[in-house]
Amino acid sequence: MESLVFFGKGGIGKSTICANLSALYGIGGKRVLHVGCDPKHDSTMAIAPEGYVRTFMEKFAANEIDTPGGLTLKGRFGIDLVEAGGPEPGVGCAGRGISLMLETFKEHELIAKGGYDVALYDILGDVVCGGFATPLRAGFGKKVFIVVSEELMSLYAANNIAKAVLHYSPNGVVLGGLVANLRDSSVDRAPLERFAKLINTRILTYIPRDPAIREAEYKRKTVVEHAPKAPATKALAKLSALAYKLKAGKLPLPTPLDDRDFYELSFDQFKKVKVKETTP
Amino acid sequence: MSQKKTEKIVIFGKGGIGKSTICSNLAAAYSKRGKKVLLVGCDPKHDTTISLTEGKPIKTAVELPGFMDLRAKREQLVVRGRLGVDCVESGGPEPGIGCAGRGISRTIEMLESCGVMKDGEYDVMLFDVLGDVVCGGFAAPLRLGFADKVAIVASEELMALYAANNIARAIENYASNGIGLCGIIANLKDPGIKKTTVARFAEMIGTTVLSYLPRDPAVRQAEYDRMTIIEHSPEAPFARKLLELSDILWKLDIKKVSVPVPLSDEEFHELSREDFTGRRKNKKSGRA
Repeated sequence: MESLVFFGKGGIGKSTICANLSALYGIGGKRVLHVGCDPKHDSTMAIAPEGYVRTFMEKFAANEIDTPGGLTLKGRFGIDLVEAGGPEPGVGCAGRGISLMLETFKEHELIAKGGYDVALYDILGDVVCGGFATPLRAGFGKKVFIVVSEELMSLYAANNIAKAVLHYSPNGVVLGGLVANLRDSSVDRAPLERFAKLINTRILTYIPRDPAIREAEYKRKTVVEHAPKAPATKALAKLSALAYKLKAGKLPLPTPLDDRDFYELSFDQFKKVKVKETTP
Repeated sequence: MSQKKTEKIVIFGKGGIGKSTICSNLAAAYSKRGKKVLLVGCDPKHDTTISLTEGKPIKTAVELPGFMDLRAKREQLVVRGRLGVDCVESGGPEPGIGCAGRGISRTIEMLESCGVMKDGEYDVMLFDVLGDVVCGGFAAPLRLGFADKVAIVASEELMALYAANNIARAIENYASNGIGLCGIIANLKDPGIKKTTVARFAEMIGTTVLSYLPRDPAVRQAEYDRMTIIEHSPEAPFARKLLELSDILWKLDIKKVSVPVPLSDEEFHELSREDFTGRRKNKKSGRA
């Protein structure tokens, strides 16, 4: 089974990308588990059946989880769906909810007995506290992909996520690469490429700005089914094949920047080389 | 302006929205008006105070030896910055390990244990808090009763408003601690087009827009020179607007501010689709 983990800052498009990848795998005949780990719980919107998807947190609170069937919801294209959900803002801990969910997965042997070809985790990457990194810690996720844009804050988040990947690399966690979802397609890509090189990874795909994405969103559909010939669909198809095929053993460890280096190097758009090797 | 009580102001906003720039400039503005100011950065990115410390990041609370046993010395924790602003950074955890929220709670406890939080020590305390994930930790300044006035920085972008709505929920939750939502500070990405989106959203959750900050090239120039705009270009539109905002926040009577009525997630989802032009079905509370 391939375990793919997508991190990215809120609003960067990671849920759209994840839902489309799951759809592509599902359409291609693979058995897919799609796990949304963003408190906003909208990862599965485009691949869910009609109606509201109850989150793990909601089901757990209501004591509805006693069988594996209670954990997952059957989505479109045969995809099994889970949304972690989040805490009431200002109270509780979103990360702990994710930990609890993964413990429950283990208890019910969801991964071991589910017979999945692909498990895909869609995770908020703004604050990489321990909780949000649980899918790396517990040995659930293997290949990590980070969705970025040209915005500095998204690279800051990506750098932090690379630190978490490095930390959990003894578990077999690897950085598959970056997925660029630019806000402005005409922007100079060189700084992004330089940043990727600095942290010893690469940009796998540029997802083009494509009105079909928005059209599909309004219809609560994936772009790959709404517009099979659209440029975005082509890019996503390429990404789905790449992400699946990448050999974890052949990927180099990331070399994230420390905070001060990031701050310094970002000022001239990562033109300078790294001051020193980071000590994680 | 000669009251003894300390004004405690908390600014929330999602990462990258400009809240650190706003906070450090508010601190500079208050200082310019002769007030004693404490600026506390509660963002794991720890760059709130950088424009007041010559571009050199200060040691964060989580890096101090006294972090675990609360025995940090005041002179280690609090660094005197430009314009006499006292600066503190909570810092964050090693990514993938630990809890950022706990660092913030801890920092406030540390400040308390070394006497910084006592009334009369400062005229204004400004907290700059990341509002992307409003878990209990990031709400610490509200929960622990250290805040009076809260303002949220937002742009017209959906995610910024989503975060603002979540923050409003946290404020509603802790309203019994005497905190109030003063309003939204609009820092628009595209000031030409979507001014009304933020205004409509604000009205919907029972608050107002305190200020629309202009796009101003001076902001970027000041950032490159590692300085606040207030100091760098005091005549720039952004600096003027910030001075005005500092007065508004100072003068607001917290007792006259009503508790926000945030949207539920489902309401937010529906209403945002029409740019918040629709009507709320029941304007009670976004809480489940």
